[in-house]
Amino acid sequence: MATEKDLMDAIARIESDVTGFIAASFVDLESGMTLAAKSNRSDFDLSVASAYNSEMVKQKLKIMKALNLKTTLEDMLLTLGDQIHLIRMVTPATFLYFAADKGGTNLAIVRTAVNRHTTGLF
Amino acid sequence: MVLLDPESDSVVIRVVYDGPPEAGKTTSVRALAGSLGRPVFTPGQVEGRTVYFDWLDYTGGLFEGHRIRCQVVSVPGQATLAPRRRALLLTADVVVFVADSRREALDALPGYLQGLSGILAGVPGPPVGLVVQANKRDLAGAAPVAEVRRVLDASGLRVGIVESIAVDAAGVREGFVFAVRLALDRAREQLRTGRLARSRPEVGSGEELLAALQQAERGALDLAASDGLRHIHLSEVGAASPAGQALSEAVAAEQAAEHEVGRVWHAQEEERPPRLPGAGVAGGMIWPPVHGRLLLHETEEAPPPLSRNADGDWYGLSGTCWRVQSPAHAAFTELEGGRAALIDWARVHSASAAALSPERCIVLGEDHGGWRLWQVVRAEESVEERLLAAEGRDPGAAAQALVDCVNSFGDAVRLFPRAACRLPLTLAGLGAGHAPARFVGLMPAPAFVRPPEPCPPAMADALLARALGPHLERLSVERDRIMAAMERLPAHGSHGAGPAVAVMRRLWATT
Repeated sequence: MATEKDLMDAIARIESDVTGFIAASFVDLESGMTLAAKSNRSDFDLSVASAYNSEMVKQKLKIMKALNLKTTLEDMLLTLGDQIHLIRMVTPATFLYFAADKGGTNLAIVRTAVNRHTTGLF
Repeated sequence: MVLLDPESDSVVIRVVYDGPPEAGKTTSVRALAGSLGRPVFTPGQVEGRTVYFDWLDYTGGLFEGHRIRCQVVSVPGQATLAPRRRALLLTADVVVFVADSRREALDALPGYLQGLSGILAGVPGPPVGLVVQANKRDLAGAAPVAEVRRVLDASGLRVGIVESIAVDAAGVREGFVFAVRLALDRAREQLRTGRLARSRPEVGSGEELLAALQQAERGALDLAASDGLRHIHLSEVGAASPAGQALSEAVAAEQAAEHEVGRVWHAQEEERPPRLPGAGVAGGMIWPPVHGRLLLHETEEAPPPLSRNADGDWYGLSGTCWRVQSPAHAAFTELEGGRAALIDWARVHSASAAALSPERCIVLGEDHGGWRLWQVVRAEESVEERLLAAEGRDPGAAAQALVDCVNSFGDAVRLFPRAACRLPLTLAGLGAGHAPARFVGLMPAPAFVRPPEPCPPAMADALLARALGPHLERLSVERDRIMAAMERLPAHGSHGAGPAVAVMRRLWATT
């Protein structure tokens, strides 16, 4: 299993690739607890965001079950007025939650950077 | 102490860091605090040693829609402060045992953990999970994790192991999050049984905990703390001392088995190779809740390759330690169907607990968009394997192995009909390390669960004769020496050789 340092290194690499990085965390899906987290904004409570996003992932998985979709959840993209949020499953029990300023980057860049630096972590 | 605080809409759990002196408890809590960006409250240190506790309060994550408030507390490691340690441990929902994993420290580990298990057995409610944080991995002489595991296995302890270098904050947070999962399993079980208390926590801060401890102790331990804290190891503490008495208190807690026979069910078969569930599986999908997650955590260390037999069951052997099996027809497209099957099978297991080896769990894991039911069972030596090993050795070993076979078979004839399902009466299914005998094999697949049936003496004799027949034939050249060795074995006691000698005479006379 990746250590907190490995995960923090991955977050640092994503941050260096994405202009407008706000925050990122690796989250334990079951508990919603963060395994590693970094936020560049003091008003962005990453612990709360991670916890509630874990509920969102669980709900999405339930929806997939209800629809009888026999596939896996890879990622979830959310576009806010001024932010991009990306949730990427790194294992069935762990996901990366990422937030960036919409003005500084775009979905393709975010997705590419996150995929590149989270593959093979666990 | 897990409870639901309606005022803050949070579930409050307590994670207690325990361990021998200087193993790294305080370092771990401080590393965790640094990682979480929270302050640590540490009252009254003496010469750098913890006198009371370290306190860290952290809120994060969600449980059933409620925030999770973690009260992280470390205990004093000094044996002279053992009553204080014990008082803190009794409030734990999960314990992270910080262990010095260097080889020279390993010998003392089972003793500490047995004492800890004894204390935790006194905590009411569902079992308290135990995570061993194998610390000091960076130091020369750190034993491989497999060796740490062997030491713990030899003492019969079921724990999760997480490696750490607390001084570098490495591994500490992973251990903490795993511990929180175990505590939530405990909370979920209390919620399920309607025993999750709803109230404001009695202790909400480090200061309040300090006041509560001081009030409870009434100065009884002040002398020990002010006298300068030596690093006394538990092995140096006399049994009659307060510390020794406190540590020796252990009352085994057993959960009452539910005497319900499970129902047979049929589910859609899944043809693709299945995915093994890991320790991150969602709560409510494992039985037993806390112990089961620990087993899965250990199985994850060396995931077994899977193969399928002619009946369609999936099997795997993790090293030589764990057997995993998913029966044919145990794949489900709907979560509800899988959950119902899990509950049914858990009832069968629970009601058969007296006849089953304890190192086992069942789990419903996600599998390619569906769900699959698994059983994980510790691979233990059977009395038949022990007999086969003894056949090539001296007559004394063969005599002892035969006595064990006969006695274990007798236990099984008595115990198995009391289980909730029919268990096979074979020597291969009886564990060699249990008295009375326990079934160490795989439980019947859910679709093949049948009610138990009594085994009359004549049938038991016939079954034993058939099971031992091939062995007795191979041993026949040594028959007289084996019988002589058998007669020298202690005849009395719960597993004495007396009755077995008579049975063996009869069997050999007819072979």
